[in-house]
Amino acid sequence: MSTQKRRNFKIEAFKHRVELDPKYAEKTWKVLEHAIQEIYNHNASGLSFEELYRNAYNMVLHKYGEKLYSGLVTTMTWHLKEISKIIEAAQGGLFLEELNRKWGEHNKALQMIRDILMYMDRTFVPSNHKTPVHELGLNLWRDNIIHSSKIQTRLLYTLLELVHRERTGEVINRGLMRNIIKMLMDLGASVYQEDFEKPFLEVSANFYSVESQQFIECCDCGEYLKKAERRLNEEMERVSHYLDAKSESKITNVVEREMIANHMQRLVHMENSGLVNMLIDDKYEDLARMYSLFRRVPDGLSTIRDVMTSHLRDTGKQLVTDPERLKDPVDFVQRLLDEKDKHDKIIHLAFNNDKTFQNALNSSFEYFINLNPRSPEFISLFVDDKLRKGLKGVSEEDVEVVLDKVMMLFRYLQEKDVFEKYYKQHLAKRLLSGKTVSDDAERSLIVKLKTECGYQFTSKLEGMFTDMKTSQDTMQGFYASQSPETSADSPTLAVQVLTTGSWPTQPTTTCNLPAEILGVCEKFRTYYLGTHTGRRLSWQTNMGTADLKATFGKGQKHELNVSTYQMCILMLFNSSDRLNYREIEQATEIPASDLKRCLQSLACVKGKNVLRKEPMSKDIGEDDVFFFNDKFSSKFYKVKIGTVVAQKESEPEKQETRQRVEEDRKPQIEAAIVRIMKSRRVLDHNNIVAEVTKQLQSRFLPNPVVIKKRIESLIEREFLERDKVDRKLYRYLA
Amino acid sequence: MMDSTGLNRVDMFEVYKQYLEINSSNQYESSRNDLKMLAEKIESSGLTRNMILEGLSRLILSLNLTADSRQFMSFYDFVFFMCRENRQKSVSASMAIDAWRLVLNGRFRLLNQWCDFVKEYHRHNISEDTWQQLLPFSKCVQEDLGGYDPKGAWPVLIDDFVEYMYSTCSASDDSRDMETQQDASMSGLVPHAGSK
Repeated sequence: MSTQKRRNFKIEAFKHRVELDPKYAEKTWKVLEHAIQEIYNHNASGLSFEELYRNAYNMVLHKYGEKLYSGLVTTMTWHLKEISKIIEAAQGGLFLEELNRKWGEHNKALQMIRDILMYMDRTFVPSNHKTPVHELGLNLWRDNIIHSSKIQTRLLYTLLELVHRERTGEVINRGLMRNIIKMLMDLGASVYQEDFEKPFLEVSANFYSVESQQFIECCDCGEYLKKAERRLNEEMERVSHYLDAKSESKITNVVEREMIANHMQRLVHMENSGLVNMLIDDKYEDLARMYSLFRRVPDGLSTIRDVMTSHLRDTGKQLVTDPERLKDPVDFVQRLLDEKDKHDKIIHLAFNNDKTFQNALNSSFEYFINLNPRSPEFISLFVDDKLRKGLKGVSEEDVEVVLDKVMMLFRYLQEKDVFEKYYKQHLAKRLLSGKTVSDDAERSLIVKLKTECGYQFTSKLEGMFTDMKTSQDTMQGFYASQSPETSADSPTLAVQVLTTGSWPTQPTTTCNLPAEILGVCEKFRTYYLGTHTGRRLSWQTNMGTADLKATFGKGQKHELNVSTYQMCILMLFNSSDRLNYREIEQATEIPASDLKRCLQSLACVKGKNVLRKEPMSKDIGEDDVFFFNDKFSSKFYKVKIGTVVAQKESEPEKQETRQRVEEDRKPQIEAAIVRIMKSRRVLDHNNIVAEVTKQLQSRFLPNPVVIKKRIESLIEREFLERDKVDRKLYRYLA
Repeated sequence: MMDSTGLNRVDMFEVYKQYLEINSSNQYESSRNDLKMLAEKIESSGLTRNMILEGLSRLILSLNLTADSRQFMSFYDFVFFMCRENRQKSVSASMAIDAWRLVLNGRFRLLNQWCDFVKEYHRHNISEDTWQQLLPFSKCVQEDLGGYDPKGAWPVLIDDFVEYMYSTCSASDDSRDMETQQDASMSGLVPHAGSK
């Protein structure tokens, strides 16, 4: 009851005042309307905002809100229509300026009007779901100015025209441009998008479509990319200067599509200047530009990568199959390395070290290196060359660099076991002839091979080093055990005891050694077997060397560095001056092919011909006669004759090595099959082949037919059996 | 003469019966032993190669086997068992060819080509696995080599045979008269399939 009373009392008090003047609303509105007019006419200085605010407040309070609001709409619309006429009348370039100026004024006016009508904005507008004054002002501006038929298209045209002029190199008033665009954005995202952005993108697409067509007709690839890059940057700059930041991705998309994506294939394949030419000529800048532009479009990078890959494969294939290249293994490998370096550098400098590009490079190398079955041999020969002489005087770090590069090529090899075979042969020759430049380098490479392929791979190679070390100690022990008198006269012997199995064994064909040598050899044998029981020694005369002191006709002395075979031949001339081929052959029992080669290097090489031969021809015949060459002379005291340099193999040797490799693979394949079957118990044929291949691929790529043969052999030996029901299944028989 | 062949026939029936009995038992170890003893017994009876083949041909006539039956499979394995020499795990190529001509006659469309191929290019013995696998191969392969799956885990000899057939067939593709053409190309063959 009491609350009711209080309410009644309040209402009475209000009603009292409101009912005072029936014309109150009309009068008040007139005041406000006049004020709005004055504001638009820049006469606002004479107005009392306090009074105007109160008037508006009272109108709302006295339920004339609707009248106030609709009055505002009508008045503002009328004013904007007037403004529109003025803007329309502006000539040419003044159009935008007029629009901009009027827009500024409208904003100011709107600000003031909103202040006056603040009470309406706060109470009447929300409760009646009307548009707030500020927004209303923008909407009315949009509908009466921007969307007026005489302005809308003209505005768009003017804006696009300005952008176009800027694109063609003119300087435009960017400030004005920014204001106008800002106006469109203020009017709402949809106004900006519909009235400017969409048409802008369309026009841009046309522009760049035409321009890219022109460019591609007259520019080379590098130039074109430069232009495209510049255009792209310009567009981004434009956005930052006077467009909505959200437009950046849209406009760059347009440029990317029109200038890059649509011409990608043509660009990379452009004659004389396309991607392949850039790669050939190491155009790092152009390539980097292509990379950064192409990565912006779908399939861009894969396009570059595909072209690069096929180019690499083609050139690589040419390189490894060129018969001219096969003549010089060292050069062959050096070229591979150069090719790798070149493209590594390109990927590093131009392609952002992109992993996918590195992978493409690696897979290309793997592809073409293995096209040539001699690659493993050649890589080993390259190492041999480097470790013999190529690394002399090179710093330790540089040696590592070379070795690392070799390892990288090694990784590409599918037949790593073939490399191992050759590496072993070449290493043996280096060690035995004492020709290796640096022990550290040798060991370093073996460590690298070990980390790459595991202990198994290098254990035999390491065994060779151990043998060399042990032999040194053995020789010291041997000479310590001999009394000085007995050994004073006899030749100095240096024996290297090689463990069977660690070294590449060759069928031993011991030749007849001279008596003096035979004597010390026997002494050594006795000593060695005395300290090591249960061993067998056999002389590998095909692998040794000897230093001989010789006195020639006029008394000049020389030291001759020769092979063991050559020593045996030369020693014969201590007792006679003239020997024919057959006599030498009988006395030494050196295998014919080796004998001929030795005689050739002793008698037919100019400057090293310590023997003379009749008839004087290049080749050794079985009827030839040899003489001690009295007239031999040389500037040097030491003369090296017929060095045993590792050379690439002849055809039959190659076949033999291949066969040995194939034989060595059989037990490895069988072991893999048994390992797999032991854990799987039952497995079908194709899975066995897949798994065996996977297990062995770090060493070599097993041939499926060979795997099948091994399976058959294992079935025959009852390690496996075929399943009785499903004949494709094999079972492991424990 | 009459006596020995008569004896032979009885023997072969008897041996086959025992062979089947041993194989039907499930004890792997003991059946292996029994088979070994059976083989020794046959060997000690001094059967010649011709006697074995003759005995088998009599046996096959009297057994009246259908190609798909289980009995035929057992019989086919039995032939291998009989044709071995010195209890080896394989059969000499020439013996295998004679035996195949005997037991697979009318059951293997490419029998002639197969036998010629083995005779020409395969000097080693035929392993038990290869022997056994020829039977499923003979069933699934057609004259035009349809039905052969290169990934079908066939023994290498069968793979080689198919490759050889392809190379000879493509050489005589345009001929209607396959039979004679095949024979002709067989004799003048470029030996590349057999080099494996």
